[in-house]
Amino acid sequence: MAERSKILVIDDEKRMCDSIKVLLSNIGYEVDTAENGRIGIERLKAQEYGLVITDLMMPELDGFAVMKHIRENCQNTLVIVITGYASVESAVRAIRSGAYDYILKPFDFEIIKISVERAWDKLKLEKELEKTRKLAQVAERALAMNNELNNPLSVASGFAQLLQIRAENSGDEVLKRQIDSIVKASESIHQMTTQFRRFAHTLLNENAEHDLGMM
Amino acid sequence: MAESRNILIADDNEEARQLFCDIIKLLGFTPKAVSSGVAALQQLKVTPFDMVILDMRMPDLNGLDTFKAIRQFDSSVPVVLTTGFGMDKGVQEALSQGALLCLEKPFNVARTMKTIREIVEKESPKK
Repeated sequence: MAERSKILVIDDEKRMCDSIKVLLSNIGYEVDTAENGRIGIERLKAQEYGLVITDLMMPELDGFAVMKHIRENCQNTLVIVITGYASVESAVRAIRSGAYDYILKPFDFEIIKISVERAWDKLKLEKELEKTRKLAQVAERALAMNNELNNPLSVASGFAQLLQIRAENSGDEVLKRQIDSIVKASESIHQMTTQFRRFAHTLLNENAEHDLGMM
Repeated sequence: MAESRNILIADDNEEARQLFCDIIKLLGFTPKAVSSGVAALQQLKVTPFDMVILDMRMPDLNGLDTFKAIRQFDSSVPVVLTTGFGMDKGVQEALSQGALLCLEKPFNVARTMKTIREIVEKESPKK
């Protein structure tokens, strides 16, 4: 999800759409509007939204249809539903089918602001968590590869050391120097793999996937 | 050397097997290399060896399980382990049950040669 992901407001009352857009734009959010569920879904197909605020009762496609589309196609998008006091049970149904929050009409704009901010915090947290998980995977893979490296390294280093023994009394100084360099280089690589293993084990034992993020 | 000592090596990596064969030949001993734990057990049941070198990580039977299986029918042959993955739990367990030592890859060839010679001469003296 992009840092500046947008909010989509879907409501068949144009006045409602516009007021929410003005309110949220004023506090720094980027907002698109759609006047019904069908247009809302078209917008969702065209680009990614972090948050969708949708009315439940709309002609053509209602808020539940929008939520179904989001569930099936936009896993990272949160939904806040708006519904009238008269239909609290539909708000409950919306929450059951995955809405993040609901707002009852008529509402104070402060309520929308709070709900949007909470949703935004949740999105940010999920993004962080996802990043941490990926870093942990990278770290695990790096440790496995680091260990795997010791096998071919031991072959290269072992044969180089055998050559060193054979060249010892050959009187060929150039050959000896060349083989010595291979042995020394192998030792450096070994030091690196050892250091990396210690480092990774210290972190992994201490705890935290969070710490792995530092790697 | 009048009488040759036989050393069995089990490692699934061909180059690693060759490396140990060369080291053992350089010591004047006779190497026999196999690519799995199961093959090592088969060899040991038909031929006596003065020492066994087992890689810890092998696909069919790992070094620890091969070592345990060897001890079922041979309580004395000296067993040395090799590993590229550090002294993990499997290594610790094998050492606690009588494996002599574990060579961490990559290793120092001269020291390893000395170690192999000492083990063969001490643990498996020829009558």
